[in-house]
Amino acid sequence: MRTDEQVLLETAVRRFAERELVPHMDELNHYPDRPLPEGFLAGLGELGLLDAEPQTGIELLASALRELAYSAAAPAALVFAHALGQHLVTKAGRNASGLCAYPSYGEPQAPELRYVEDRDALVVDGTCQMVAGAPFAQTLVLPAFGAGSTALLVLEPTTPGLEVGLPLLTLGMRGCPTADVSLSAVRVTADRFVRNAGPLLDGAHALFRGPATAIAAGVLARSTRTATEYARERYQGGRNIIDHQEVRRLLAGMLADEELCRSAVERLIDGTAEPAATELFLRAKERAARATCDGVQLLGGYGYMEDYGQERCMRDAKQAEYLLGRPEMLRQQALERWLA
Amino acid sequence: MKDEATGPGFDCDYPLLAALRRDRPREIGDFERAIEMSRRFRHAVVEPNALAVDRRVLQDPRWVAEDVLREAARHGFFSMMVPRTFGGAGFAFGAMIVGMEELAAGCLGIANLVAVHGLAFAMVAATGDLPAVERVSRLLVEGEREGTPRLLSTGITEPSAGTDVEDVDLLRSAHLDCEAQPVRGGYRLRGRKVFISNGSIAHTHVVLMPTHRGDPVNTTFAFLVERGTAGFSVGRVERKMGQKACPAAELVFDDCFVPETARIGHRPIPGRQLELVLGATRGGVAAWGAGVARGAYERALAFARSNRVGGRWLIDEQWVQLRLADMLGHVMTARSAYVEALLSNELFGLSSLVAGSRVQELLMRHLPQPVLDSRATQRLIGSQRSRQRMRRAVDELADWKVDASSATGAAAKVSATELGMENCHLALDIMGAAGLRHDLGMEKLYRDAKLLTIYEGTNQLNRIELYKKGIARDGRHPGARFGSAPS
Repeated sequence: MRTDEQVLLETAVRRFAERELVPHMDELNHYPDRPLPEGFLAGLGELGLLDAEPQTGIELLASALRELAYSAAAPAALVFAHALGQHLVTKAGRNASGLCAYPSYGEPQAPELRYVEDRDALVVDGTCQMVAGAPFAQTLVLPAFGAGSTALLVLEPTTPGLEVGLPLLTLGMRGCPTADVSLSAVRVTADRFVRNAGPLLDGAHALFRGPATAIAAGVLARSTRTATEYARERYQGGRNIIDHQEVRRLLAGMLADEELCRSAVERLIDGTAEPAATELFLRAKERAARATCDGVQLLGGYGYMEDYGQERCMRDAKQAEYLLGRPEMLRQQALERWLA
Repeated sequence: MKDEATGPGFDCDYPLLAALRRDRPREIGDFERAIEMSRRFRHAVVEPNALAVDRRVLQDPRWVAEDVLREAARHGFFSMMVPRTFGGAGFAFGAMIVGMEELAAGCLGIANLVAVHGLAFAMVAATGDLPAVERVSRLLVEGEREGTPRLLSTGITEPSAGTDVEDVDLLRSAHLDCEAQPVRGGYRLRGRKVFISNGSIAHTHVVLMPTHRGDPVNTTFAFLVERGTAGFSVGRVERKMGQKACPAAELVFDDCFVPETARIGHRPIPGRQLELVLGATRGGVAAWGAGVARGAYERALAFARSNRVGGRWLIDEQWVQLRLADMLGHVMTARSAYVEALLSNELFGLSSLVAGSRVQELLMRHLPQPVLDSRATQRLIGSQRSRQRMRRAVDELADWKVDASSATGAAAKVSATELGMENCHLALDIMGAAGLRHDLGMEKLYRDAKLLTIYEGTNQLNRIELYKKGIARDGRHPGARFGSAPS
C-alpha cells in the first residue's frame, strides 16, 4: 500500500521526467560524447533528490528511483550513488557538501584503494574504478583497504594527489557521469575518514538493495509497456503479433519478472526477505536484465534501434544488475554470513 | 593447425573437421586456410580498430570504416568465395563461414561489414542465373583488386514486414510496401526496404520485390539495383545498439526503373530458393554466434587471470573456474552446431549446387588460372548448356535435401546465437563493473551479440522453420501444419 507521500513524490518525479528528461533522451543516451541537458542536475536537486541530508526515507527513495528509471535510468543511477554516499557520510558522523559520488558497482569487501597508516592520518594509493557521479561531484566517498580493515574516505575532488578521470562511456545509464578516481600518496587527515568501516559499508549496501532493485524494476516496467504496445500494433502472419502464443509467452514472462522486482523491492525494504534477501535482490535484477532482452526481441529489428527505447532498457537493466557488486561474490558472502 | 609438441590449443582444435579431413580434403584445406587468413586479419586490423570504430559510429552513424574495408580487400575477403572461373579465390562457401567465427570473436560489427555481401552472393547463386553470378562475381573481384571494395547488400526486410518476408506461409498475409511493377522494357520499383546491412555503402543491391503485391509468394523476384540508379536513394541510416561498424540503412525506391536484365532467375524466390539461401547463411550467423561465445570466453578468461578481487586472483575462485568451464562448453557446442550446418549446406544445400559434380569441382580447382581465363573456357561456362545445367540443378534438388539444409541452418542459428548471448552474460558476471566499460570491450560484445538473435530471421522464426522442416515435414502426423492452433 503506497502512502500519500509516496504518491506525491512519484507524481512530482514523473512530471519532472516527462518535462526535463524524456525530451532530452538523445543527450542522456550519448553522454559523454554529447553534453548533458541543461538543468539536469538542478531539476533533480529541486525534487530534493540531491539534498545534503535527504528528507526521504529508503522507501520514498526507492519509489522515486523506480519512477525516474521508468523514464530514464541514468539520473536514477546518479541519485542512487549520491544517496548511498550521503547515507555513509551521515552514518560515519562526517560532513559532505553538494553531490556525492560513490563506486556503486564495487564490492564493499574488496576496495580497490590501499592505505597505510601514518600517525593519525592515512596515506592512500590506487585507482577506484567506475565512481558514479565523480565528474560532477563535490564529495567523493571511497572505501579503502589497509592494516586488515576497511576505511571510508570522504574527500573533495581538489584534494592534492587525487585525480578524477575523464567521464567513461558505459554499457548503460550513460547519462550518469562516471569516472575512475586515482589517488597517488594522498594524505587523508582524521576528519576525512572513518576506520573499521566494514560493518558500516555492509549495512549501507544491505539497506540500498531495495533502491537498487527499484531501478531495475522501473527499467523493466518501461520495457514491458513498450513491448506490449508494439505487440498490439504490429502485424505478422495476418494477425497482431500479440495474438501469437510465443509472443504472449514472452510477455507473460516479462510481466512476472516485473512483479518479482516489485515485490522484491517491498520485501527488501521492509526487511521480510531475510535470510534470502541477497538472493532475492540478485535474482530480481538478473530477471530484469534477461526480460529486457526479451523486450528487444519482441520488437525485432525495431527493438535493436534507438527509436523505441528498448535497446536502452536492455543496456540499462544489464548495468543495474551490477549495482552494489558482482552477483556471485555477493551471493557467496551472504551465504557465508548466514552459515555463520 | 596443431603444434604436436605442446598439443592442440583449444582455439585451433576442430575435431569434426579433423575427422573429415580424409574424406573431404578440399573443403578442409579451404577451411584451414580461411581460419588462418581470418586470424591474421583479426589480429592486424579488427582488434586494433574495433573500439575506435564503434565509438566513432556512435557519434555519427553515417561514418564508415573505409580503412578497414580497404584492409579487408587487401586480405582477400571479398573474392574468397567467388569461383576461380570468375577470377575469385574459389574457396568453398563453408570456408568463409569458418573464418567468420574468428572475426566475430574480435568484432562482430567488422565481421558483418566485411562478410554480409555473402548473403547477396548466395541469393544470386540460388537463382541459378549464371550471367548474374558472373556479374556480381566480377564486381567483387575487380573492387578488391582496385582496393575500393564494391559491396553487395540484400534488401529483404520492409517497414511493416520483417519476419513475414522470410517465410512462405507468413508471406501470403504480409503487409508489404514494395512492388516491382512490370512496364515496357523492365520494371518500376516502388517502396522502402529497411535495416539493410551495408545498404548505405553497397555498390549493388540485391532487392526482393513482388511484381504483384497481391501474390507475393508466386511473383517475388530478385532485382539487381546499382547505386546511382535514377529513382533509387539511401534513406536514413539507423542508430543501432551495436554492430555499429556495419551500417544499417533504408533503401528508397521512388519509381525506380530497372531493365528486364535487372531481374535475375526464372523462378520466384520464396520457397526453395530462399530456403537454400537461408540454410547457407544462417550457418554463417551461427558461426558469428560461436565467435561471440568465444570472444566473451577469451575476454573473461584473460580478465580472470589478470585481476585480483579482495587480494585473490579471480581465476582461483571456484565459481569463476566453473563459469569459465560453462563458457568453454558453450563455445564447443556452438561451433559443433554451425559446422554441422555448413556441412549440411556443402552436402545437400546451396553449396552442393554451386560446386557441381565431383569432376567439375576438381577441374575448377586444379586447372591453371590462364586456362580458366581462356576464351574457350569462358565460352563453355557462359554457354546455354551451362546456364541450363545451373537452373536445373536448383529446380531438381530433392526436397529432403532442401529441408535438411534449412533445418540444420535454423537449428544452428538458434543454438549458437543464444549460446553467444549466454556467454556474454557470464563474462559480464565474472568481470563485474569492468565489463561495463567501453574501453575493455566486453560491453560492446554484449550489445553486438543481441542482433544475432534478430537478423536472418528472428530466432522465433527460425524455430518455426525448424519445426516445419525438422519435425512436421512428412505431413502424416497431427501438427503437420505449423501454428494451426489458435492462441
